[in-house]
Amino acid sequence: MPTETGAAFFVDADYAELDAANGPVQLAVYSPYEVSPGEVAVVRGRLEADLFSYAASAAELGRAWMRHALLAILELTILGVLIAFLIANPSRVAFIVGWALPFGFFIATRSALHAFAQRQYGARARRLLESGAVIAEPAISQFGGSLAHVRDIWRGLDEGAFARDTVSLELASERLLRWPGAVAFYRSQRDADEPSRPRPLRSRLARLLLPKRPVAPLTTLVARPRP
Amino acid sequence: MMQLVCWAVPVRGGYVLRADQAAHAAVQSADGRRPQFVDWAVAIVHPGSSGFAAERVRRPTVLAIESAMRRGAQTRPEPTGRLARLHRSWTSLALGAALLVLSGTHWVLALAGAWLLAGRPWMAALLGIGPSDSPATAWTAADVQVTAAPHAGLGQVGEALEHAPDDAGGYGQALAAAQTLGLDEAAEVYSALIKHPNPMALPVEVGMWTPAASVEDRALGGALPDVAEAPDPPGEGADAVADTEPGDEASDDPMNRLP
Repeated sequence: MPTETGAAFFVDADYAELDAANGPVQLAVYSPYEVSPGEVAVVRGRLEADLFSYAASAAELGRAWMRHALLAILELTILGVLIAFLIANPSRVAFIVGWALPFGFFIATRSALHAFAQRQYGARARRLLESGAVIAEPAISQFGGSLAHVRDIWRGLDEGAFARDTVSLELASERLLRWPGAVAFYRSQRDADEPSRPRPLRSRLARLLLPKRPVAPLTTLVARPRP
Repeated sequence: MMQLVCWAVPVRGGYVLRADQAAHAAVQSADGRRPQFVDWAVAIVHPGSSGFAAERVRRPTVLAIESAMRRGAQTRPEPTGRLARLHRSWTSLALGAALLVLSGTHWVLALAGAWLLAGRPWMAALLGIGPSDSPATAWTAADVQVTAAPHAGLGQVGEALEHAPDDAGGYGQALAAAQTLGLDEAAEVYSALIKHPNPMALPVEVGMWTPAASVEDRALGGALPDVAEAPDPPGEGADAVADTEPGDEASDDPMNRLP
């Protein structure tokens, strides 16, 4: 993929969706330049490290959701007794404590919800760990959707359809190519360049309460100078 | 078979071997895998010059990987993990402490406070749903397959080094080339060499020096042919190590016509 200073590889794969039951993982490399065997070896090595690191970190997801639920039931029972007590004994203490109860007493419930929602990801990660494998020989420049995306972004750059800066490339990936992987790639580039900004309150609340997908790393940068 | 990568960074008179930044993560992730899937192959990426003899650097390569494993194990961020867990649960801990303080003679409030402070962590540990310690690594140096693969970027860095008249200038140019190409491992080696230009005295965390084949042969008395000057005829290489060359791919590759 083109970058401001040259080009870089990234792996466009959602590790959470990869299932070893479907067979071994095949790495396919798409590049407008000739890729040397050493570069392919580095990409493959980093892909394997990231893939199985993700699997190791996600293997526990959802495995113990029933035990999480048991803990949540126990905690909600204590919360119920506490609320009944505070209603039965209205006082200044009840007012002080009452508003803060959700911050302390919904943690086990949240963990149980997350564990239940993520049990499929955990099962896939365990299958990857147990029987997943990456085919030794990567496919170089095979046909497919990614080939068209890579071709179009380089062609658009050559034809001057968009500028060679991270924001323009991100917008082109989003609006012209409709390629979510590339958008995530350029967004990660932009985030690396800019200081981190505080998340909006709504986003933080959603992050706190809603079960989310396990985070898979965006693999592998091997930069090249601008041709 | 899982692949690790070791960089053979070209320096004056030889190479500095350094494990790739992903090597430690790869070995750590193999802990939960079945033994039949944990075979190791190490790809040595090198500048592609004919003076590189992969078989000679097999043992130093394994040592460089093992050194990276030990470094990774020593720098495991345990305190950060505890701090992160404390950060995640500070609201419950604060609420639990407040409930205990405010409870007075009300046992319900005291029970709720005790649950938040100690009851829930204890119950989670009892049910086995807390964070678990990672087991020992699955890395073993036995039966490691070593292959060599020329790396175009390292080749450019090597050329920048060769064309410089002196060591300091050469390492400076090589550092600039490595940074431009995004080769972090090579850039770290050259940064260290600019401060102390003797590659043999490099700290082990930076890399392990190994002489080029021609230099080693000369040191042994010059009886053996210089590998750099007299490469083996095709098909008669002395190395048992597989070496792939660039440009082997099919010429009718669709990507060759891009962009």
